[in-house]
This record gives sequence, C-alpha cells and structure tokens, in this order.
Amino acid sequence: MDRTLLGPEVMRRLVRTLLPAAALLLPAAAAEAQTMTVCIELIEGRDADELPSECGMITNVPIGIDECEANTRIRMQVNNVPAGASLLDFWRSQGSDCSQSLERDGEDDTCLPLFAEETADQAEVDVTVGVQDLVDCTLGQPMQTSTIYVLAADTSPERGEVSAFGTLTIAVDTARPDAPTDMEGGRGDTSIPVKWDLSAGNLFEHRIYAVVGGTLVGGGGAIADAGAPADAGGGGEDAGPPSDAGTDAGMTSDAGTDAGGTGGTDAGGTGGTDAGGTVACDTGGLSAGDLLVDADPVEVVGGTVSEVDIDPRDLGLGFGESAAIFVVAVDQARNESPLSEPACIERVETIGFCERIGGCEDEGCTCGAAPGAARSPVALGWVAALAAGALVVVRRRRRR
Amino acid sequence: MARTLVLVPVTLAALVAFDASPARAQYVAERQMSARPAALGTPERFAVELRGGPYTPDVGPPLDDSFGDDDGPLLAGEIDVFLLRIPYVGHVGIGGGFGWTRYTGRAVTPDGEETEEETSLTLLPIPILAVLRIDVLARELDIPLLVTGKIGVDVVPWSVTKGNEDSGSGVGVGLHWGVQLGLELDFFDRAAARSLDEEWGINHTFVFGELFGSHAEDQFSLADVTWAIGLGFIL
Repeated sequence: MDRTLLGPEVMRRLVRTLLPAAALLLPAAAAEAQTMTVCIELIEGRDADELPSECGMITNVPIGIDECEANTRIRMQVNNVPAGASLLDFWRSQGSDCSQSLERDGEDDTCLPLFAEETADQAEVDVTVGVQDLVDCTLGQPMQTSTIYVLAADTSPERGEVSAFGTLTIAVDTARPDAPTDMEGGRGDTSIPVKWDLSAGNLFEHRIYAVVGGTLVGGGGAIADAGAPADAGGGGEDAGPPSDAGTDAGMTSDAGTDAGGTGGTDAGGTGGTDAGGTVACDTGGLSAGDLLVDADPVEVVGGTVSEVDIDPRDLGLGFGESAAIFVVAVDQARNESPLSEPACIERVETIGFCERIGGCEDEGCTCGAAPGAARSPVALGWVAALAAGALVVVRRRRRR
Repeated sequence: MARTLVLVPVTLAALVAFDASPARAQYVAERQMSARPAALGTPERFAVELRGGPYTPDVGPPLDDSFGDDDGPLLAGEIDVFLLRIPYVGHVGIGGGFGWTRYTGRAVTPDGEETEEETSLTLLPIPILAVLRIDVLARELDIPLLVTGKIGVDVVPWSVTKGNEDSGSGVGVGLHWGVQLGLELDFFDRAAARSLDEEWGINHTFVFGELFGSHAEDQFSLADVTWAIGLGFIL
C-alpha cells in the first residue's frame, strides 16, 4: 500500500468529508449548533392575530408596503443565547446557510451582514429594529422571503465558526395588487348590487368607497400621487411609488391617471357611468388608478368576494341621486391597490312583486295578510275532515 | 302541463316494456325462488319521498311581470305514516311534507324600466295529507307498480322581498290533492333489496311521478296543478 495515501493531508481531507456526514447522522450533535430561537413579540401597528403564530418566522402576514415605508419597528426575543457569546450578529441570507463560515467569507454576496446587538451575558435578549434593517424594502417586488441568521458571536461581522445560531424567515411583499376591473353599478331603491372582476393574486379583502355629491363618504382620504404611470387596470405589479410622497390633502383630481381604461370614467376623473351607461355620477375628482390613503371605506368584504349590495339609503341618497362606488383590492400583506374605475349607482323608486299585486295602497308595502285573518271555510273544512278521518283510523286500529 | 301529460304514458310504456322483458322473467323467478317472500320482510310503517318539479302559483300577470318564466322548481320532502293495511289493497295513512321554492326577478321603475334591484317570492308549502298507497300489484301480481292517492290541506307560508326589505308575508291555506304512480326498483337486484330491508329497514325503493294540485290562497292565489318526480322509500 502506498504510504502517501495515509499521510496527514489525506487524513485532513477524510475528516473534512466525514464531519458533515457525522453531523447529519448524529442529530444531537447537529442540533447543538442551532440552539437559539427568534420569537417576534411585537410588530408596530399590527393586531395580535397578525403576529407570527410561532417563533422563527414572519410569513402569515407578510411585510407590506406601508410597513416598509414607515420602517415599522419589530421587537424580537432571541432565546437560549450561549453564555460565552458577547454579541448577536445578524445576517441576511440570499439563499445560503449563513451559519457556515464559508458563506460569510465576504467573497460573494450570499450572506449580508446587517447589524449586531450586545448580549450583556443574558440568555434572552430583546432586539428592536426597523423592518428596513432586516429586509430589502425595494418597492414593487412581489412576494419573496428572506432568512435572517442570528449568530452567537464575539465580533461583528462574525466570519468565523459560531457555536449557536437561530433563524427568522420573513416574507416581504411590496407590490400592490391590481385594481378590480369591469365595475358594474345600477339603479335601485334599497339594494343595488355592485359587481367587479377579481384581480389576480391571493387577496385579503376589498374596501368599498363611495363618493356622494363629489364628497368621499366617511370623510378623510387623500390621493397619493401615483408618480410613475399607474397600471391600475393593466395588471402590472408595480403601481408606482407608494402613498405618502406627494400626497394631496384634499381630494384633488389626479388627472391623467385614468389608467383603468376600461370605460366608465372620463379622462378628467370628474364623472362616471354605470356599466350599462344609464347612470351618471360625480366622482369628486377621483378616478381609476388613484391611490387613496387615510380614507374610511363604507364597507369591507372578503378577498374572494366580487359583489356587494349597496343600500343607497345608507349613503344618504334620495330618489334621483347618485353615487360613485370605487373598490380597492387588498392583498395578504395589506397592500392596497389603486382605485378601480367607478361604478355609478342611483336611487330610484322601484316596483317589486308586492306592489304589482296591489298591496301598497297604504304607506309602505305590506302585502301580507293581517294576523288572524279569516281563512277560507272550505280550507278549514278540509282540515277538520282530515283530522276526523285520522282519528277514526287510529281508533279503529287500536280496537284491533 | 303538457310535460305532465307526457309523464304518465311514458311510465306506462316503461312498465309494459318491463313486463315483456327478460328482466321481468328474472324478477318473477327470483320472487318464486326466494326463501323469504317480500311480504315477510320487516313491517312497512313509513314512506319517505323526495321530489322536485315545476311550480308556478296562479297569480297571473303580476307573477309573470315580476319573475318572467321562473317556474321554481319546487323541492320537497314528504313522510307518510301507515296507520292501517287493507288486505289486497294497500296502506292507509297520514302524511306531512315540507317544500321550498323561490322566484326572483328585477324590480322596475314606475316607468317600467328594469333596475338592478332584486324582488323575490318564496313559498314553503306544507301539505298535511291522507294517503292511500295501493301496492296490491307489486305484492300479489309481481308487477312493481304503486298507485298512491293523496288528499288534504296545503299550508303555504310565503314571503316577498324587494331589495333589502321584506315587503310582505302571509300564510295561504287550501286543498291539496295528488295522484302518484311509482315504480318499485327492487326487481333490479332483489338480493340487494332484501339486504337493505334487513340492515336498514328499507323495504322498498321506488321512483315516481306525481300529478298534484294545490289550491292554497291568501291575498293572492298560491294554487297550481303541476307535476313532480322523485325517489321514495318504504320503511
């Protein structure tokens, strides 16, 4: 046997090859390297049901445009920090295992150092950072996930081996959903269906806004300048920079953003019609493609709902008065689409079945019989005969 | 109504065809060879029927103007309780049912223009009946045919809506009658039919067509003479 085969270099290669396999075969040894957990305790502005249900991830409600824009604060707790570690070193993975020192050697960008936090020799360390410190908030990117590695370290950035680490998976979605299309309104007295075609994607809800007499119902509301050509009706992911830049305090018309292009609005954004073209309405300067901020919807329906019944009386409409209805789609990251094109509704006096059979002579339509009204004697006779017959049969049967 | 008139001859033709078919011969042979004649099955106490068919109350132009050609359908169920068996005739009993039908259309403006607002009429017929179910053909002559007559009272709660509002409701009452022709399905597989009886107490399964009339009235007529088809079980 050639002795060089058993030389020190060969032995080193052998050990290097076998060590990862040994780690896989010995779960206890492998688990020892990942003893820390990262639990989210607070995401500023979120309700409790929108927080992660388990440690190590923020994926149930992805980080959205508003949270990225506002650099929302996230408070996390890192548990099981080893006693010897003086720092928690945060890295963002670009698809690599950042617990491996080879991935943190700086030769490529597969792992990016973020920041470090002192442990103060505590086993549990609270860390509060802005969302921009953790993830790439480049606007317009559709849903993507990033993994944050938290390393037990002594230096920052830590490029050597670490004794412990934890991970946090974060989903980020800074692309707006498309606005609903093919809006349909109509006329009615107490209920007018407003319909639309759902936009693509997994939507969380739809927000319904109404403009009556040129004023947004519920007050508030401002139009954010869509900036770049809005593609509300066109189906693109990027509707331009989000919200607050260039926000108008009033409801000024964002002329030229009639991006829906599907009919129903005029170019100036001051009027609209229903799908049938029989109802016209004042949109108060709003038009398809506008980004509405800080406005109160008149109704909110689910993400898979494509029709809502509007009671024009709830909007304060009298007979002959109309309103413009806009719909905004909201995705799972709570990103809002631009406004849909308007659907016009008009309150009109209507005649239904009850009125047609002549039951509405008095105030209101009560075409039902008054309680206790007399029944046909023939019908009552049949009831009595049936009961008597049944009684006879039962008695005869008992006798037998 | 024309469809009603078609139903009866079609059923009769099917029965005639059945009578001459090999299936008929097999059915008779199985009945004769059976160690346990059908009459010796579990006691027959109930009949359960599920049915559907058109129903258009005789309201006239207001109904047509509001709902167009909407003819229901009326979906209903019925349970009959057999109180008495008349030898060589069949069962006498009482029955009760529950049905549902709804008509929808568009409300119009006073000028007659159609709007997007919905108006509807909902009927919930509840017949209370005396029932005579003649099964002598099936039990004594091996012809799997049931003839049933029903007569009683229809109680018909109804309600009308327009948009978000209930604009009227009431209860109509009137005579209800029906004539039913049923075809027992046991002959397809008598062993399975017996098994159903032994395990579930279902003596017979049958399909049927029924011509029936309701003469219920309230402020307006809820009456109609129409037909239904369905599936029934004798338990």
